[in-house]
Amino acid sequence: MDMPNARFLNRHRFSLWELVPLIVAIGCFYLFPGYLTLGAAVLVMAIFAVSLDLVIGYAGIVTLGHSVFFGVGAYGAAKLSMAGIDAPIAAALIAGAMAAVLAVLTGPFVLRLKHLPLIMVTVAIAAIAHEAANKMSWLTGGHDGLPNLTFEPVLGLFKWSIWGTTSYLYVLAWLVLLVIVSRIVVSSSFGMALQGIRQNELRMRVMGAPVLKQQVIIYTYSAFLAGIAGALYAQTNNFVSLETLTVDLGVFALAMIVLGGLGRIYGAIIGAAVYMIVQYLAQQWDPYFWMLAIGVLLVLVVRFGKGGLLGIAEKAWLRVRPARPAYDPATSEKLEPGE
Amino acid sequence: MTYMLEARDLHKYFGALHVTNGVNLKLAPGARHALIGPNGAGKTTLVGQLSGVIAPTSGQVFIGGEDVTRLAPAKRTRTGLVRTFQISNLFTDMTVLENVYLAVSQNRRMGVNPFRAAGRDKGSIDRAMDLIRKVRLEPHADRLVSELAYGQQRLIEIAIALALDPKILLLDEPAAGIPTGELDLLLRVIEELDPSLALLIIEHDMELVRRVATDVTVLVHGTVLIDGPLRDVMSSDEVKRVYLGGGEVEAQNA
Ligand SMILES: Nc1ncnc2c1ncn2[C@@H]1O[C@H](COP(=O)(O)OP(=O)(O)OP(=O)(O)O)[C@@H](O)[C@H]1O
Ligand SMILES: [Mg+2]
Repeated sequence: MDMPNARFLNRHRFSLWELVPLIVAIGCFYLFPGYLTLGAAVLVMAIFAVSLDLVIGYAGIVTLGHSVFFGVGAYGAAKLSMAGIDAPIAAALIAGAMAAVLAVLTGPFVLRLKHLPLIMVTVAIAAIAHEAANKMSWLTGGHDGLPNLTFEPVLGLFKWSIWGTTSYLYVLAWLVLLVIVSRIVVSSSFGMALQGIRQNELRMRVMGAPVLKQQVIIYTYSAFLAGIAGALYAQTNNFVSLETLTVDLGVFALAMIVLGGLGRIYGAIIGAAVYMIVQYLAQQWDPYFWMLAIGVLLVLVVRFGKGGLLGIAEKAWLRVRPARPAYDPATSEKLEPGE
Repeated sequence: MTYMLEARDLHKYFGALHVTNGVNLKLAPGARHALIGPNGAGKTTLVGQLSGVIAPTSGQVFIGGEDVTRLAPAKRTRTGLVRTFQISNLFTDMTVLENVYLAVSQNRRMGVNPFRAAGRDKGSIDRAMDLIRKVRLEPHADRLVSELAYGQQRLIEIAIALALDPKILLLDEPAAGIPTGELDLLLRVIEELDPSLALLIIEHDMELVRRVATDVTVLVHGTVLIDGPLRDVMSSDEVKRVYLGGGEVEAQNA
């Protein structure tokens, strides 16, 4: 049991703790003005990690092919900009929608698979997508990628700067918005059903749950987020390359969510931040060292806290203050009677 | 007449093992039907085929006269065919309330609504609490299922089954693991079922069978040894011979 007293029915309740990551992010904006480009990259990966956590951590769909949706979003935004659609918010939404369409078309087939076959097939699809993009250089620019992309100022007001000021705040705003929406999704009846499927799929089926439909919905929403993350990557780097389609991306994101704690939106964010920062620092020291550093960190976290970094923190906190029950007879009397 | 549930000449092989051998079974509206037989007779496998989690090798299953042999378990549940599991099959990482809530919300087709907070779904939560109260687990509503005693977990199975508004209810050894003191509770729950519901109950406890069932099917080695009204079956020499041979039922009955 990685989270004693888990209270699925309490998930919708907003807690002041949730402001902490936001405060930290805004604090970093003022404290490290020289690192805002790195910061924007961290936030982009945080969105991607949240997207992956929704399918793996919540729904139990273990895919290693999520880079496809990131890549579609990145190339989608690049192509949109080249076609003159360079209002960043609109372009990101369209790019996310492209990834979502791909997910809704492929999901009903891919998601029939489980466990190892699912992992193998999604890896294969991601590898094929990467290679296909490489071959179709007329579309993707091949190895050279698509450089010198330009986007309008955000909302027509905030110009992009080389310091990454606009990028950082722009991506942060997206992250906040997408976390709020994702929070609603995971604490809904639908979100609970997903967690039911992860824990005991047969039981959900025998309860009459339309499991495949539920999985396709979350897969599509998750792809939408991944596509937006890809688009933000393109917009903050003014550049896309085959990097955005490598299988590694999906693997790194998996490492991030395991590090931060599976099935916890904020775990994905913390995992992405810690991963990217450790990677950055280790690379400064020795370019070949960072994989080892991340590896050791992962092993330690998985060994000592099954719920990742956030799980460790939660466990410590619950010792101090136990959770409140979802069903409180005292307050339930005051509410309107059930249907 | 159209039966609520009908199995026609079901066969199931597990490799060379012929576990279901030409079983016919009919449940009319309001049926209170017991399925008994020694361990390994194929009772659970039969329920698996009726509920759709096991595909029969041959034969057909009908719900309300419609052939559902190829219908997925979820769709059968949505027609009102509900089963419980012989071995508790729950969401161990969730609380009692959350387990029952999941059943209620699936039954209300809320499982695809991504915008309605589960915790604000008072209607479903209250319904889940009513069912939990019914099986007297209210003090444990907020405890993780994995912390509960086995017998209590069995009662959650019952609450979940009721949450799905069954029209046909298949109970696989509901009393197994439930402490003797709680058997009255189980009996009362069964007595309070909608009279038009069709019930199939697998049970080793003959006392319970006598009190609940009006009809009995005896399954031995995958074949129906005898079926008919409770009184006839219980007094049949064949049944006595099988059970005296097995010893199982008499021992539990004593
Ligand atoms: N998935 C399976 N694969 C192979 N053999 C199986 C499988 N499931 C059940 N069996 C075998 O089929 C036979 C019937 O099993 P089943 O569980 O249906 O019996 P039962 O009547 O429910 O017994 P009990 O009273 O012990 O619950 C047993 O011999 C069992 O070992
Ligand atoms: Mg059995």
